[in-house]
Amino acid sequence: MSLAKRVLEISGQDVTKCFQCAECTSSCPSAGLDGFYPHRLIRAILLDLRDEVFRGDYKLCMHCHLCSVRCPVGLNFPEVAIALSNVETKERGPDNVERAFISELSKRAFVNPARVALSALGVRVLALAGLRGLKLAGMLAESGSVREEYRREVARVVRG
Amino acid sequence: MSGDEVAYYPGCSALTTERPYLRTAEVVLERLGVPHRLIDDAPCCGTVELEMVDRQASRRVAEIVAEVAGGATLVTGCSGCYGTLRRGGAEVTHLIEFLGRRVGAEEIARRVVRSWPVKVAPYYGCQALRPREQAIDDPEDPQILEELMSAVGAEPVDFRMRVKCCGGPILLRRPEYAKQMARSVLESARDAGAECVVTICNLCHFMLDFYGGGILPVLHATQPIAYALGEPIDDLGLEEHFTPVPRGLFRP
Ligand code: SF4
Ligand code: SF4
Repeated sequence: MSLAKRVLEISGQDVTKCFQCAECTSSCPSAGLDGFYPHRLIRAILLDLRDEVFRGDYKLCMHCHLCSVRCPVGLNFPEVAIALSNVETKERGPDNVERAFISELSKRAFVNPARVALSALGVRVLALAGLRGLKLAGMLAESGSVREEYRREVARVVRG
Repeated sequence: MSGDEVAYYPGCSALTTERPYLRTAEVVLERLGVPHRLIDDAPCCGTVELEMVDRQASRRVAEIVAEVAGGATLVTGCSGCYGTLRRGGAEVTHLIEFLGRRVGAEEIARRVVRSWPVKVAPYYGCQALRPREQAIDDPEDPQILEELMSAVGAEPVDFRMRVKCCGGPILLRRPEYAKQMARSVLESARDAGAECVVTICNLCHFMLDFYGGGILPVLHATQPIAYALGEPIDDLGLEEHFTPVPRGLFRP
């Protein structure tokens, strides 16, 4: 099945409506980042250029939806990106960032942003005695020094 | 107020780095006489990351959250959760829409016991405004937050980045670029003459407060509202912010 059809199936977005006006790209805060241009991606889907589509730059979409409120034919690019990612996950499994979220979700049903950031970077969370669990976070605000420590921890975690 | 009960969905980060948002959201509902309960046993909304893995799984999570809310009005203060749950098919109202439209800015103004005369940059970010079907106000030129801020005595300023992205969604994939975006939000607010920024989303707040380079203090919209409705300054959670909030911002 063509990529365009799979995208339509998963997201209801019909990319054949796109006429390459590039309004999306001119609205896009991620445009140019690692060669990401939403209108080019749509074109690659239309031409079924799988290698180009799955280069991965569609994951730089920030889901800000500026393009979808401006697209003259009403295409919703973030939904297209979600559909592509669903296809890719079925074929190759989730990427590191997604894997980190999912494992966090399935274990605890809620996400601690710091833990997710860590496992996305490939760090085994178990090994991190210093990182506090969600329930303990309340304590952190109470003492200035603990807060500083937490802040450093989060900084370290998120900045890699 | 109507007798409808609100079931408040805080979002994960309101339990960790964004606790003052949850606290003051509850205070505001309380002081406005809105019957409410906290949903503290529903899963994380999964964010866009879960959607990226499996659209269907994300819909199931939204269903579960809606179920936990039962017959009550499901409300969340996190634009990220709001967007994800709406896309997943749950009927959910953004806290700011609830305050601005259901309660109403005039009603809030009527209940103000002390004014908050501060030059403020109302920052919307993305998920509460777009896509269009989910917008709590005009997707590119909203006024609802300005109305709420004026209701408590503040002077809203216009600034370039007010409806643009905070960078949060690509923080884990392109940290440097994401941080640059967060900083540019604050720079544009400062250049417009604001004394502080107010946000309406857990993630936006984290991004601006933590990565904004300390350019301006970043408040949750509910903090000045709670203050204006009479909540003591010491109970606003100001000391929990990463970027220090000068106490002078809340003149007793
Ligand atoms: S704005 Fe819409 S029609 Fe124009 S290039 Fe982008 S997706 Fe295609
Ligand atoms: S939603 Fe994605 S593609 Fe569209 S403008 Fe925003 S970042 Fe660019």
